Amino acid sequence: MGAAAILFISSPLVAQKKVERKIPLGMEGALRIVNMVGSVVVHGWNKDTVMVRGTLGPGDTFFMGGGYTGAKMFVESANDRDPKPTRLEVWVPARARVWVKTASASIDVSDVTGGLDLYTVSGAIDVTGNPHELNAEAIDGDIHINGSPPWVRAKSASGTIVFQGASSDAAFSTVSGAVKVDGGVFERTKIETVTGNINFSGQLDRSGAFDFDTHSGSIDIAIPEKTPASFSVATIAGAITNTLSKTSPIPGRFGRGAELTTDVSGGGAKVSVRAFKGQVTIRRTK
Amino acid sequence: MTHEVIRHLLDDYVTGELTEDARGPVADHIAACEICRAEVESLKEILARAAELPKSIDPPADAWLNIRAAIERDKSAIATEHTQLERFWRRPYVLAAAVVLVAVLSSGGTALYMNSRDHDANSARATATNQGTESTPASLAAFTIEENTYLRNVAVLQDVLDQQEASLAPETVARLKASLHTIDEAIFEARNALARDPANKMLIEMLSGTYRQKVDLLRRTTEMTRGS
Repeated sequence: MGAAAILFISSPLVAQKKVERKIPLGMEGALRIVNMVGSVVVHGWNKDTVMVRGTLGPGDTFFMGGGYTGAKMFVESANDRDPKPTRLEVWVPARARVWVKTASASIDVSDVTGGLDLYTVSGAIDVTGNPHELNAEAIDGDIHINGSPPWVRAKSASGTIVFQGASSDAAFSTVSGAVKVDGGVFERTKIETVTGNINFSGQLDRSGAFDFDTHSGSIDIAIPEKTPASFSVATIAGAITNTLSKTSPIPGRFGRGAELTTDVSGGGAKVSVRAFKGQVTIRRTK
Repeated sequence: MTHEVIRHLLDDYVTGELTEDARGPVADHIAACEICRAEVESLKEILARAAELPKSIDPPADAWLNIRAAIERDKSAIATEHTQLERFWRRPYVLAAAVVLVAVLSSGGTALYMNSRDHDANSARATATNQGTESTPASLAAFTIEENTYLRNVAVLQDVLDQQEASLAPETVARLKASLHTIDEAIFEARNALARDPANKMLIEMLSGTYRQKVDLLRRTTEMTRGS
């Protein structure tokens, strides 16, 4: 991990339930954290140090080690078949690249401006702040992001994705989970679900590109009045409601679906909306 | 250090980033553990092969003409090929080899991916929208070829996942199966619609996107259940 050699320090704490450790890590160093059950809370701070405080599950062992460019910490469960919750609270250099992996443990990150790679099976992911890059993936956990990462990717299957903020490059994907995006200016955005509903309320950069795809979820897009945008909307069987412009949808190929091509305020941001049988609504922000 | 702990260190061991005090116990374990030894050999092989790869490859000027000709040729052979491929993939030794390949590539790929991103946190990332950049099959014939690839990938990943299922909580398995079922229903509906309207490019693209989601969900789940 990283170019520099890692000094690995195993720190078994078999008999202890509390853990507190500090190691130096460069302001732009990399840190990996693995904790399957319980919680991982990460705070960014302006020190070239990683500090961790935690409460280990009974019999669990905590390992932490690394060098100035890269470090890792993880918890070895005393019983893999029935792991007990371990709660870790970690302070990292704000510009560090942080990688976290859990099974059911929740992940809560704040004030990290470096890169974030967050993976969980069923835990919830909560990010506050403006990481430079953010990749958050869950299988059935919810993902909640409050901030403005320039580059963001979030994926869940049955979990909900809620994004409040702005981004120049955003992509969100679920199977049945709803996706709710609410915030400032977006440039390139892609949202896709299979049955999950999509709600987008934000400002579109005039030169931006936006893709919304669903099979049977509903799509609701709300943009401020006089936003220059060019919409291309098509469904195979779903209805389209347009209150942004005077253009009416026309019947689709099967007679059940609909199509709508319309420019708003002279055209601008390219917005592509596709639904198999979901309902599509494009409207002004309330 | 236990097997589970040492698994987390194999990538650093192979890349020579473990210091001597940690290297000794890891080396001792590898000498005694067949699984870790195989993982180390695989990682070494992947690293060696990755080092030999060129930075970029320019396609030949007539690549697209050849691809189009191949698609036309394959159009008539798809039905036969499909059956042969199914038989091929059902052979136990082929399936086993594929499972190992996916697992090894996943492990090595993750290690390389993480290392490359650790070295360069600002490495280029793909942009969100696919308008004009993401390849989607242009016709039903091309999609059918792509669909076969999806089905093969799904079968391999599903097999890997079946073996790892015990490491997931029962409620997670239930939700995962529900999600896969949701995707399958969507694929079924879109496939039927495509049969009625084979020239509908939007349907082809949406169906292709739904398959991609299924492969991605299976891949992500298998990676998450494998350890770091």
